[in-house]
Amino acid sequence: MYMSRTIDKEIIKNFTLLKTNQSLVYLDNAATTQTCVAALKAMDDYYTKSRANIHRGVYNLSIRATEQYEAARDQVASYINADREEIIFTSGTTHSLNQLAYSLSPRLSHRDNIVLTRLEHHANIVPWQQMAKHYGFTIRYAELNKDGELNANSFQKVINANTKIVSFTLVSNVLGTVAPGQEIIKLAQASKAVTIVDAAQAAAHITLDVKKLNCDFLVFSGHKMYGPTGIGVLYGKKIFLEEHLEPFLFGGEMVQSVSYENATWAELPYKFEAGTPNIAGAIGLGAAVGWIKKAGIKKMATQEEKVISYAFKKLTPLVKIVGTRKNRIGIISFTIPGIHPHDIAEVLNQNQVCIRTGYHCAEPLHHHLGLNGTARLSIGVYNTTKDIDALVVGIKKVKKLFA
Amino acid sequence: MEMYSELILDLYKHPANKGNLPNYTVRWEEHNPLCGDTVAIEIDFGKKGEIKNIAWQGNGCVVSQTAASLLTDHVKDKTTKVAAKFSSEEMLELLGLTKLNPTRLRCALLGLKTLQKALASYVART
Repeated sequence: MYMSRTIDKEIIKNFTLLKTNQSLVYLDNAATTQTCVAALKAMDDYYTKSRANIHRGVYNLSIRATEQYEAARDQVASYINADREEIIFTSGTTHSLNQLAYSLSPRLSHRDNIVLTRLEHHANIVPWQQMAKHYGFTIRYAELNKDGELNANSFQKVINANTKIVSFTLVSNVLGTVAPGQEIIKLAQASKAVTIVDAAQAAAHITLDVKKLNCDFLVFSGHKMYGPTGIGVLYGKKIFLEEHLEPFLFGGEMVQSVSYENATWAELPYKFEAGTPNIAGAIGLGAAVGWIKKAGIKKMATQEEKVISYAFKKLTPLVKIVGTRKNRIGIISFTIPGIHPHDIAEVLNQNQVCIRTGYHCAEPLHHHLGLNGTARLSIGVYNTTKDIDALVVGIKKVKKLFA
Repeated sequence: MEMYSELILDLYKHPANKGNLPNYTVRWEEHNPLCGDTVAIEIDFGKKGEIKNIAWQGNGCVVSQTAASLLTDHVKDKTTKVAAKFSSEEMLELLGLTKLNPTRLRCALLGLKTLQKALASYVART
């Protein structure tokens, strides 16, 4: 056992579902994490003590709600080392990426290209494909090296003078590999391309610093970092948000002044937040971020590293792991020859072990690697080596059943 | 544990009617976009429109693959009309799996969907 029983209890205390279902082995954190008590409590407080719309009322209740919502923005901003005006609340990573695809593509023409990677989640492929059909630009894919990783070389080969956007995932949701973000962004900026970082799988596991990364945009979801569903973030460099990006949704809150003929936009970040936002969601995310900060992301990462190392060691003789050990956090996708991933998950389910199977919203990558679906385990801060032991027992059972 | 009964596992390891036909009248392929399971059915129709010979290919989970074996066995020698009436409920009964969750239901009915489309394409042609 790597983790002492006390730390185990200390963490589990923050996750009601896991605390009340101690025999459950939850290993699908790349899909969604459990919600921490701090987030649940903050949302409950909003609903039961401060429920009102924000930015509208002069009465105390509305002012309190507004303060909580804006405090959440401050929390998120400081979490990624951004300024508060640079934080736009969206419904999640998919929303953020769609918004960027819709907003940035109109300035592209058939002479231009954008660069994505072989690793991308559907949310960072499909919106661009749709825009490419409309505006005529081409999509280039940065290739993986023989270890299934992205490196600077992958991008050097595809970025040229006509590359206008480079959008890539910082952590692969299939392989768990971490891309060299800073290096890639430097390369993209040498060609004056706009840079977008999909940090959905990174946000709960590695320190994010947008100033150090120097990216133009960075997006992530609340529900993959111990926060609620339906809330996410679109970070944009102030200069970009002010001068280059037009509002995507129009309506209330995002306007400065409206006549029957025309409208002018509110200042940052409000011009990008039309309609009543997901107030409770933002407050919940703010609290989740606060909880991560308190628990210490580096400490969490150290614990996760121990569990994933243990999993790698235990699984290597039993299954075929996709990719190598190098540069990997939190995620292992695997296959067992002759057994369909669905059947692996079904038998594991009988042992109360939850893993994901199929394409994990990355069908092109699976085909690219010659895989017809995989089984995937992904860990969170509450997972221990005991969970991996339970997984191993389940996998042995599957193999026996199909022998 | 009924999903992984000896009967089903045995059929999964030794499928019935799996392969290609030397001659066929129609071929239809369907896949489950969620998990990538595929089933393709080839049918050689007789003079009276009966299913003279039927074979299938595919890959996927135990549920989708054993369903294809059982289904093709069941409709062999039946007329197009009778085969087309075979329902989802009857398919699940044939499999012996009546309490499937929505995800696995799609696996169980993939073969039937393929058969229905194959039959419809034959009927449209004649």
